[in-house]
Amino acid sequence: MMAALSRLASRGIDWRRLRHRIGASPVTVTGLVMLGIVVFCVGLLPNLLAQDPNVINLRARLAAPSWSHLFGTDEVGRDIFIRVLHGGQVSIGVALFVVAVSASVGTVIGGLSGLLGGMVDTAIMRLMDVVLAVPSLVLTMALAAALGPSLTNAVIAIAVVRVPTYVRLSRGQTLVVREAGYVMAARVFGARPLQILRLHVVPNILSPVVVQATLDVGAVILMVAGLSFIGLGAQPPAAEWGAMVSAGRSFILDQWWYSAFPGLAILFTSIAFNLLGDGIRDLTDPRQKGRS
Amino acid sequence: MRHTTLAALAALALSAVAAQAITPTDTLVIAKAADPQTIDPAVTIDNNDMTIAYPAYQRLVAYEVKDGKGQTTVTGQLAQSWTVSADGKVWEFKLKPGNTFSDGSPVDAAAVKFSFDRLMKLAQGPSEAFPSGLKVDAVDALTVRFTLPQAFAPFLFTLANSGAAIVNPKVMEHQKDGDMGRGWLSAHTAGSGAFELGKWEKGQSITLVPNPRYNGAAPALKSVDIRIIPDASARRLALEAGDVDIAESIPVDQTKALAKVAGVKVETYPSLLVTYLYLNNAKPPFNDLAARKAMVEAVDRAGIIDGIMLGHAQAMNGPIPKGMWGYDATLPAPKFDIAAARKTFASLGLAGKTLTFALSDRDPAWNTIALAVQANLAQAGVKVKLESSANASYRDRLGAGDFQIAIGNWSPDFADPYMFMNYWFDSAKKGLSGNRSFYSNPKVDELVRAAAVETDQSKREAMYQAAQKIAVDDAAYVYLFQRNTQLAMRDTVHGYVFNPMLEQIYDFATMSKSK
Repeated sequence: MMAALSRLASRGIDWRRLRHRIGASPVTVTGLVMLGIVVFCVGLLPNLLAQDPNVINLRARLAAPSWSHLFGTDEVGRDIFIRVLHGGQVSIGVALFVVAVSASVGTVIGGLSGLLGGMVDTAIMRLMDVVLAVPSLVLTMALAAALGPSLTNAVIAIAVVRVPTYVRLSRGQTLVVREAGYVMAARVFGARPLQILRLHVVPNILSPVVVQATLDVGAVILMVAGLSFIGLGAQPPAAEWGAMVSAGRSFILDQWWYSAFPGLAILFTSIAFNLLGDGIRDLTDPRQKGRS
Repeated sequence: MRHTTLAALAALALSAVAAQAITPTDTLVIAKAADPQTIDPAVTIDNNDMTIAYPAYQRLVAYEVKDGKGQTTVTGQLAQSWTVSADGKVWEFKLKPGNTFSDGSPVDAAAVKFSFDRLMKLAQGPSEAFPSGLKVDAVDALTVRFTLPQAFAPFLFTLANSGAAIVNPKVMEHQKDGDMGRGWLSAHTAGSGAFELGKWEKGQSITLVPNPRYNGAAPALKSVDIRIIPDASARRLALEAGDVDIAESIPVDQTKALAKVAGVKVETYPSLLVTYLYLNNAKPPFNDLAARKAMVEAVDRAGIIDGIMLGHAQAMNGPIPKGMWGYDATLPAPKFDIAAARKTFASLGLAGKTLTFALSDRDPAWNTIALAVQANLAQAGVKVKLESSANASYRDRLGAGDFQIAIGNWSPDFADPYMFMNYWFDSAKKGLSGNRSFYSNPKVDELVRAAAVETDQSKREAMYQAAQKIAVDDAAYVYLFQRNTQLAMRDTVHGYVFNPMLEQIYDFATMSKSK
């Protein structure tokens, strides 16, 4: 996957033109700026501040936001600002991991399915239809509950549920690509399906997959938060946005900051990824090419 | 400002659900955190169940109320009078005539005998309050004789327990596989109390209606609705909006703000309700005294009391709380010493290991305390996995000993150190009965059993204090605090009487509501 990506990149991107087109799309710019803020806050700030998010201070519990505790403190006196930052590492890390796994697995399965056709294709696609037929959050909850509450299991559950989207997407693209002359030629010369997949199909179906993946990150962040909210995801004392919103529920009337800040963090990050995904889709949309 | 806006919004959202904002004056609505499990008085020892099980039945004696305050003394309820033999073994009760069960059958000596025989035969938690070998005879229709194998000092008071309820012998018609009607009675009532179970939608609501054959003044309330609202904020909002009249288990953080709401009062009562941690003495690592001692050292009790309970509690240094005779003021407060605990845990090979901490949502303070303990132990080098489950499955785990650390509340059913010492430490009462740490020490067994049959109170006190010292040295539990009970209700609710022996129990027959 990474090799394919770099090959795609090395095929020559007109950076100047790309920059120009990104600059012309305020949505993409906003998404990028927001994402930059998120990356700075979640990726760098925790290391700069070097505060343990799990240190309790029972005598400073449920303190209102102030300069010493920007977002206030929670029911055992932990600093919510620090916990939101660390929670972001969990939420975003998990989201990126889930999307990477489900996108790669889905692309390979979908590519093979499209390439091989016949019984294999039918079997794979019917299986995917079954998974898609069940509402994804319900299926994720069922899977996570069956596997037992833990962050790892939540990750597995979400990844499994998200695979079919990529399978369908990449299969559709593959059906187009496999009729192309160069694939025919490769076949005639006796290339094996996996070789064709790796060398010809994947590089050519990658851009819609990348767009889908970017858009998915926001959705997966919400799913992780949702699972943690109902107690199937991150387990205490781990900081995780959904779990924090859930814990703050009991205090929402007097200590609004407990649920509000992790909630805003979810909102902000999901919007950032969605805007970026929209932007990338516009950039890679063939119909947009040439226009600027 | 922000608070009022949020509250108003939330209240708006809530009132959209509830059709009616103010409840009728003849209906009392109570918001409860957890659904009861079984309301069979011979089975349950959970006060949360007794909210239903207690008022549906009558007992031979009941706690007295003087000047609106619950007393530790008892007076006859079904019993008119009683006599006791000089050796304290034979008790004879004369029943009041004219009492009937809700189906019209008479409350007679046979029914009393049936109830106690059933209680002892089922041999569940409530039977632990009575000496095994208890013999009950119906002398005539209105005279019943209890013969005890040996004198049992708190016997009269145990008759006011929820478990001493007089049950209609007709429940045997519902017997299945020799369960003495236990299955049926877990979700039905068959008593002579002022109220009986009307409807129970599991996990949703319970309705109690007056028992038409109740042999007392007709209650002012025509219906008692108990709604199960697991979320503390939702309970509070419902109370503020007037959708419920009483909200149980309001977190102590919220009572202050709640008390300021017009139309709401928050009553605070010094109680004998204690909160403590069970350490599973039967399983590694807490089968090792050193590990238990380290656990006691690792918990920041002062922080929990000041921070989480906001001072509405006092530290406990031993099992018998202040206010109960037998309390030992000389017991030293355990030292809070993370460094020492860390050392001990490391020497036991526990550093970096994970312990399980079982809890439920029964008490809103539990989760916060668990987080504090988790953080304390993390400092001491031990990880803790919090396993929160529904109260029913949590209690199953307690009974089965499927935990390493767990948290519990305990309130006495009668004013006697027996309620603490014999329940918590007698190795014959392991599990849900009371010895939840699965603690076993023959010396303590001997002392508490001797204290139970001794009739001289000063001798009993000495024995209990001796046993208490050993048990504290054995670090069977981590004693946290005894708290003030707080109950939030609308100011239209009248006649509520608090009794530390009757936590979460209401005498609906004497309660009323004004406009």
